[in-house]
Amino acid sequence: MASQSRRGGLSLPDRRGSSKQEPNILDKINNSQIVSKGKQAASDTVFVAKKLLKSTGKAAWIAGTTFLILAVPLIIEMDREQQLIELELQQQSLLGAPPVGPAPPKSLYTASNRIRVVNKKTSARVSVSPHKYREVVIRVTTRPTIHLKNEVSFLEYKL
Amino acid sequence: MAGFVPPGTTLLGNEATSEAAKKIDEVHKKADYLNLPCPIPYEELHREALMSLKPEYFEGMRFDFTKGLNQKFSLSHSVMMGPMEIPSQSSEAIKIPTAHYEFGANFIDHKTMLIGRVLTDGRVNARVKCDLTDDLALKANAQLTNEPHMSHVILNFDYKGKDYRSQLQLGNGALFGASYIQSVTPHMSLGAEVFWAGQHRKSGVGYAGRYETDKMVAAGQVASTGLMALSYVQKVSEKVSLATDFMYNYLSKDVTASVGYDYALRQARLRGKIDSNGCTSAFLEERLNMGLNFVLSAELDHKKKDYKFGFGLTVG
Repeated sequence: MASQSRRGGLSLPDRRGSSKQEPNILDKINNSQIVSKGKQAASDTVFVAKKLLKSTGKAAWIAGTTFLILAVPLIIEMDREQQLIELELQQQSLLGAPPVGPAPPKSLYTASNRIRVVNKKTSARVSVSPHKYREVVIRVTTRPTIHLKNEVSFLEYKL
Repeated sequence: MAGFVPPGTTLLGNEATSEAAKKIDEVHKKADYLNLPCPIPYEELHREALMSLKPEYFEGMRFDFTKGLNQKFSLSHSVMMGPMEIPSQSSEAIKIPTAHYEFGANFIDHKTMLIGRVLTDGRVNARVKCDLTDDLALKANAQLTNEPHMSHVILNFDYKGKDYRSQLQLGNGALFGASYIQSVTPHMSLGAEVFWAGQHRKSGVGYAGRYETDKMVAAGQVASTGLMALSYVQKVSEKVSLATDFMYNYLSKDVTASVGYDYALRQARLRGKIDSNGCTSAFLEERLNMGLNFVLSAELDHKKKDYKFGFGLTVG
């Protein structure tokens, strides 16, 4: 009956839906309510998850760059201020103590010219030689800068 | 000052007497309405908040060199290279890289201050501050430019009374302004201003109030041009102060609020601010050496996606 409308030759078979045959079990499952609702829910979930990820990413970016600009320089500067205060306390306690002995013990300097001094928070490499010790002290008293102060206080600390 | 203990007292009763002296001074201070302190000038009403929240952000590189020739006279050289923003109608900001050099001379005396600047893009600035007598001061500000109708000059006459200040302002383009501010209590001062701009056919009235104590300053200002500004600065410690600012234009319904901090440490000064327009900015001045300052400025506008960073060096 379907082939009557054709002129002959090869032709594709008719589609199932055009005939009035009963839909089989797979079609029933596919078209049922539960499955379609589940599909809708899954696509909604994917959509919402994508949006959430995007907005979380945006928020994280904004929070991160704002923290970088507002808080990181503050932390760095407060740390430097703490170091400066510690340095001054050290110097005060050293200068308040009885005057330092005459010559530094040779054992500290004969091994190598470079001394590695470790402070609580920083470590600095100081190069010194015994006959230059006095020079360093004089330099500090006339032109105090943080770098030089560091050197002297570490040396005195070592003594 | 309150709490001053005369140097004859013995150690035993020292604390008790200083506490008593403080209390008596406070009571006396409350009742003394005839000896109020002189208020700050009207244009400096929001001074603390402006200092903390509005440093001079810049973009690009900046180098300033000030050389003192004398005790009173100094020359300054300044180079600035960076993108300049051209105001455009579209949402995208148009930035054009420019560079200019500025030469300036300053003469600072105990009575007079003269400052002049000339820039390579043709602008000349001059500022004069002169104490004519003990109470009367003259300030003048002038700017000449290449572009027509952009040059202006403003003259201010300030009279300082015992507990009030008044100012008369004259400008080119028929600009007249007057302001008056008076201390009403030892902590509070109120003021008002009027101005009339002939060229733009505008006139306005404004009122302002300021309340300050040792630890905080609150200031408010309303003007008939639609501006309402409130600011509050709290001094949390001697190094740290927090400031907030609220600006509302009731004619154009424009609102901006900002919160910021100001850390004045010994080797550095750091100011950070966050805005309700989604703008975060920070300004750091660090003392590298004696007379050598390193300046960093950052401004992030998350709404417009406009990021500006600048660095500079200030010598002298």
